[in-house]
Amino acid sequence: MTVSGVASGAGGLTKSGPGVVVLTAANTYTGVTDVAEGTLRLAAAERIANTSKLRLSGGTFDPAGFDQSMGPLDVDANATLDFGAGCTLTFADSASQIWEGTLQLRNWKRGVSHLFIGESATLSETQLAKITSPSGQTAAQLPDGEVILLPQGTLMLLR
Amino acid sequence: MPLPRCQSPGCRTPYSLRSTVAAGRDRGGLACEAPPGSLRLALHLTVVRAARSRPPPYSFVLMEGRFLTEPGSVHQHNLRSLASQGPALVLGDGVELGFNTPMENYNNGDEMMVQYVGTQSCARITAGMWLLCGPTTNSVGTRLYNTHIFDVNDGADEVDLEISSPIGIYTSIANSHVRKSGAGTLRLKHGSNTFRGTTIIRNGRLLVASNVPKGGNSVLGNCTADVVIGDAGTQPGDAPTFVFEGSASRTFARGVSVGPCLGSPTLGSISNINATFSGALTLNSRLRLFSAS
Repeated sequence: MTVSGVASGAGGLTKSGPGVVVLTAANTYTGVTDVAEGTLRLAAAERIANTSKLRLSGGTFDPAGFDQSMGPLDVDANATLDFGAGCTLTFADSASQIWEGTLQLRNWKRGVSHLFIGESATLSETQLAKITSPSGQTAAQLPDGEVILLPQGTLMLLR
Repeated sequence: MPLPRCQSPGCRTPYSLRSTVAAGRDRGGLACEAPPGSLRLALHLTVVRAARSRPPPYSFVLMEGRFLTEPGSVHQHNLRSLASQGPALVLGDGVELGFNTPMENYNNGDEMMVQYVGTQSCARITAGMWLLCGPTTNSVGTRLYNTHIFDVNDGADEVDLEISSPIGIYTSIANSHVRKSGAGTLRLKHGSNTFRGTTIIRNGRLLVASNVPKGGNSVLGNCTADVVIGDAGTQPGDAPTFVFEGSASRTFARGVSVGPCLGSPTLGSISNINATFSGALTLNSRLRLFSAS
């Protein structure tokens, strides 16, 4: 399913159902973008207003290799961020969000994919412990806010 | 000779069948003694070639059976009950209706209602022209509108009310909004309806298998206005929904406006098809995008 019209207004969007929804327009709505089920995919960079909070309550957010900046990231249930061939995802500071699910980073590759959450290392240990990869890697946050996956078996002290 | 009274249980008004119902079929006509009121058929009855009833009823209550017109017949029943007076047409479980049915009201702002009240099996409007009568314009040419409401209870079937007939207008420049209410599913099958007004989904599911262009006759009439999913009358727990079904790719070119509302508006497709929504989405509340594949 493709949504090519521009979505605007103060409301938000919730992706539901097991299928894929592709956003192709440069949308301007300011409400929460919620991925509850299935896959929400972007067709180009910056398809969602950068103030929209991304709430993952299941399913997959797939920027399809395109860069996207957004408001805070909330993880309400087990969900996936798919970096595809590589992109940069930038979220506003999310330390105040209560993450209740596991966030799996799919296709994340060091130096190719970038995940920034805030502009400094503000994620809590509890939040970082919920970030993983399909192979079970753990995550760390660098001083500039970038979140990276650690090679398995690595002990990294950053703070 | 006095007319035999309608034998249906719960018959509230003194309408009578002109002829004896033989073997469940009435080949005569219908007559009613005095309007206003309802003609109620609650028997396992098939009425064929239902002649224009005189004087005409303001509303029909069809709780069971089939109410059809023989091929070639041009008979029709004009329904006039305003929504404030009760539904103009009530359909029960498994009812089939198939004759020309003008919903006759020409006043700006008035509302008329079709209601499915069954709890088990789909009711079907299978033949004849479904005419939405409405006002035209005022003295300075501004369009005036009345509203025709399809209030559909959520029964056991996946689809509760199915309209295969074309939905037309009278006069030829009449304007009528169409509003879906009730928690049930309304399936519109005719892809070239001509009603000219906004489609408003206040509650329940509207299911279509045709493209929705912006302008030109379509399953949602001949209109360029946004389709409204959820409005001020949508209540908490309501789920106003527009979804495509079928097996071919579908395009929805009109805009979608999600009003400030308390329910869960939904837009999408329940089939494994490529559905494209190319019109602008105006979000005054959260919109759920449902994709089955």
